[in-house]
Amino acid sequence: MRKTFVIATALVLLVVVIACFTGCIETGQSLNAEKSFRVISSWEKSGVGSHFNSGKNIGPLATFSVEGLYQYIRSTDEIIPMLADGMPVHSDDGLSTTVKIKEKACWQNGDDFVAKDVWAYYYLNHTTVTNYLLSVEEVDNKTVRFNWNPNRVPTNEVKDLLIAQDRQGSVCYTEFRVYADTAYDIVSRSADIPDDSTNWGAFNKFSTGELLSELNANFAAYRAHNATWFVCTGPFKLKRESATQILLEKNELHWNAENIGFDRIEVYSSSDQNQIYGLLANDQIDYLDGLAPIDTLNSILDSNPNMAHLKMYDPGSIGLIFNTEKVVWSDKVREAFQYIFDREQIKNAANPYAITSYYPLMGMAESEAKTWMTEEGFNELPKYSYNQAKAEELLKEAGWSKSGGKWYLPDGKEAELTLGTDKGHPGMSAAAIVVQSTLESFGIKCVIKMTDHNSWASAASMDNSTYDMSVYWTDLNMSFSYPTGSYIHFNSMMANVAHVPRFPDNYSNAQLAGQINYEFDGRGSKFADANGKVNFSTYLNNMYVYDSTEIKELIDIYNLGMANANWGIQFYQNVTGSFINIARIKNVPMQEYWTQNRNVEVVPEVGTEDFYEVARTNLIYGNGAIVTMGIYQPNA
Amino acid sequence: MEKENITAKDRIKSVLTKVWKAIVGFLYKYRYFWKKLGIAVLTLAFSTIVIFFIIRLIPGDIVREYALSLASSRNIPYDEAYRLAVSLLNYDPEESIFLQFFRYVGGLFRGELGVSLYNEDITANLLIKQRLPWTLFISSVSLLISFLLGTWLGSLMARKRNGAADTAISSYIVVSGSIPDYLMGLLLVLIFAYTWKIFPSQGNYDAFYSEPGWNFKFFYDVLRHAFLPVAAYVFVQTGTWTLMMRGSSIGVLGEDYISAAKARGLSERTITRKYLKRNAMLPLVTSLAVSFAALFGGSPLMESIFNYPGIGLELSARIGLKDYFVVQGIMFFTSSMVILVNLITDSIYSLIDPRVRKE
Repeated sequence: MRKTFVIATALVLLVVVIACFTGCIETGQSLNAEKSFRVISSWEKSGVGSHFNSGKNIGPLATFSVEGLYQYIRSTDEIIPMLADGMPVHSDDGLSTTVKIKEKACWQNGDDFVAKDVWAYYYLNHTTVTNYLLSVEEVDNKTVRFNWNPNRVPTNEVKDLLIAQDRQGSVCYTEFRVYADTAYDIVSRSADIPDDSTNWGAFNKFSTGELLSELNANFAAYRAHNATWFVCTGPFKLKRESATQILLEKNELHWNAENIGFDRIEVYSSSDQNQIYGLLANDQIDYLDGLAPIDTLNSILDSNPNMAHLKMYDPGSIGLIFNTEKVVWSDKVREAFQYIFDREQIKNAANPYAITSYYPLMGMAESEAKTWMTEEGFNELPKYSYNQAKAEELLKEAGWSKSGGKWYLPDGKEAELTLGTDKGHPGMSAAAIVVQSTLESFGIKCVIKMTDHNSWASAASMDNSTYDMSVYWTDLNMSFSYPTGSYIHFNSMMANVAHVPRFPDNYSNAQLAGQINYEFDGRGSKFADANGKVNFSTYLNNMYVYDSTEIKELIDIYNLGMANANWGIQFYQNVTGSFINIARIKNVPMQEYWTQNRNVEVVPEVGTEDFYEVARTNLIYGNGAIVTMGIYQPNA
Repeated sequence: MEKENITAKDRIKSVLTKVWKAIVGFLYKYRYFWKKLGIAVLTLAFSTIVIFFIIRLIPGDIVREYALSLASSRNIPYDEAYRLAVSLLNYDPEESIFLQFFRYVGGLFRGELGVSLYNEDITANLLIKQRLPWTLFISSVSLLISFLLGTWLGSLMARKRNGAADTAISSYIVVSGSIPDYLMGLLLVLIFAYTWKIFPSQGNYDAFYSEPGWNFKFFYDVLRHAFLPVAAYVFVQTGTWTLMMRGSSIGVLGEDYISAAKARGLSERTITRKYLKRNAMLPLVTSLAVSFAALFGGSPLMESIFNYPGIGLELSARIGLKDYFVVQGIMFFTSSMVILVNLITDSIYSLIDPRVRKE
């Protein structure tokens, strides 16, 4: 026993001594001699699989290894050609678009990236763009043509964005030939959608019954396919993976290899936000997207003098959504609530760098609304100030009464509201606390229930929900900045929380079944029906086909309609950002600001050069384009 | 001829009777064990049912959450992400819960603990195979060290009651017992990883610079990464063993054979080694076995602090993903291990001490 103990102690001491020695050697390196970019990500720890659509979370490979013909930057809609040689060329009649592929574009296994690969990608993956296409064809080895459905041709601007949204460099025809050919065969055998139909389908085809089953089985087989290499074209190759780290090394065959300065991407994982902040503060990672709570942000910057933080607009607003299923939310009460809150105070508590909004929920964030609405339409949007006297007046008009500092409902019961939110979002949870304290001091009892996102979303969306209201995104666009994105998101998420009326699931028009059934004032436009109304769902999936003048008219109808429906309150347009290691990485934008203050508080205005440059730094928004294009370089 | 037939029949009958008696005798002799085995099987069946249904009580819509995650990571609209999620998920939300249950139980009989919702290649069996060794490595090393250290300190305290060592060790026990293990983990990371930078803050080995395999660099790297989690466990666990050993040792010190050994003029070292420790440690061995069984579940909190890829961290990640089939598989495995080890411990105990069987 004694011997064992002595040996165990000696071994432990040995490890400590060696570790101390090794640890001391490793410290003191400040610049980036090994030309590495250290980031944090999450991935499937049992193995990332061998392709983009295997169903496994491929984490950093999605950012640094899987490319498309183009890369668009979310929030600015800048499009950068990647595998494509120049921008798409549209025919005069608008019915076809031709894309040239870079001569040097190739797969990581050395095979040429060709038009047939793009063809295979689309027949296997029916993405949004395929709903607008009749076919994708190979013109020659390095040229691909998109033929648009004449019944729904998107504008040229939207065509570019739809193509840029996809990761065509993820399906190598020679690897997935059997599935791509089968998919093409099934699509070809499927029935055409008649011109007068409201149905949608990839390549204007409608696969049903046996064909649909075949198509699904083929997709499942494609998903389960195990290639011997990770199928991609991107600038970094998978070198080694463990449960906590991934090492990517530079792909020397990449079309832009000579301009890419980094030799390796070192990826760490962590599910714990505090651990991630610890890695940032201790100079162990070079980049993190997002914005930390203000105290944490300052603490990270104080601890790590190499770190700077840039800010950028987020195409989304955070606010309060009313559960209109509850009888308490009469028109007057909802209007009163617009005046109760000091939105500046809420914004400061939740995200002091954000932009305070004085609008109701209107379908998109303020900066997006300014872009997409007509000037007159935007000026017509209702704005609300912080005016609790006005709120009291409106509540009394609604039949509420106040006694002993407490509000009572028209039926004489004390007003008590349950507020739900996502505890994992620091901005939302902070805003919820201010909402609660404001309501309590105003005389309305408020109970907060904070849960994880999934639990909150399920509870908030169900009939007879516990929640009377929720602090959440009121407006959010997860894809490119075209307005459809935020309306689709509203339709799928926020409308469920607000319990906006819907068409029944068995509605005769299959395209409208289960969709929002709410009519806006048509403002006398050509979009209005015989009753002068526009239903929310009528144009939801058709917006891409309207030109810039028409779309503004339509967005005026939608945004004003939603604002007047008063389903919620916008508190602020979110601002996000990027932490970047300015000592190890060169060409970080806004140098004139971060040399003065590493916590750059300026949010670049929409359309300015800084606006585009800062948005590119966000690896999620730009999918690593800033590294691929050689803008970021190691400070070796 | 007839007589021979009768004799043969009698012989067969006699053999069968003997075999039957032997079986009955065997069953009767070990009836204590069979009873325990029956209870274990019932417990396992009950835990299987409870795990299956409790997991499904977790609120949330898997498809929607997966769609949101796809929309966010791929920058695609929610409707496209939702369609993609439906195609990618290995899950039919329309399937009845009872059908799922029978499929699950059928899988258990085939040794398949569960297939992930996200990909058919990810199974509970695979995750246990990949993660359990890491959990067992750090937790069994720390259990062993804390046990050895605790028993040594405990016997020292018993022998030097009211001395300086007793006071010092008591103070340590108070401190270690009042600090939660995760806080100890955070403190160690802060001091050794972030401030002094002598140990890595997270992971099980450095995949950037060492290749897994039978080489010194990898072996050393694994030890270096295990040091802080093991130290945190040891710091917290040692106190409990020390107290248990102290109590047990004090009891043994009062025994006649210790007085007799002293009277025979044996040295204190010999008495401690041969009489005190051996006898005082006996009751602790049972606790050690039970503690070992508990290791199979890992420690999600500690593994999370050190981002150590053990079974506990994996389980908490899968719960977050609502990967039902994998979660129930891992939980079934860990509960099976606890039940099995308890069964073995009970059986061994009954063999050592026949009074247990009689009771």
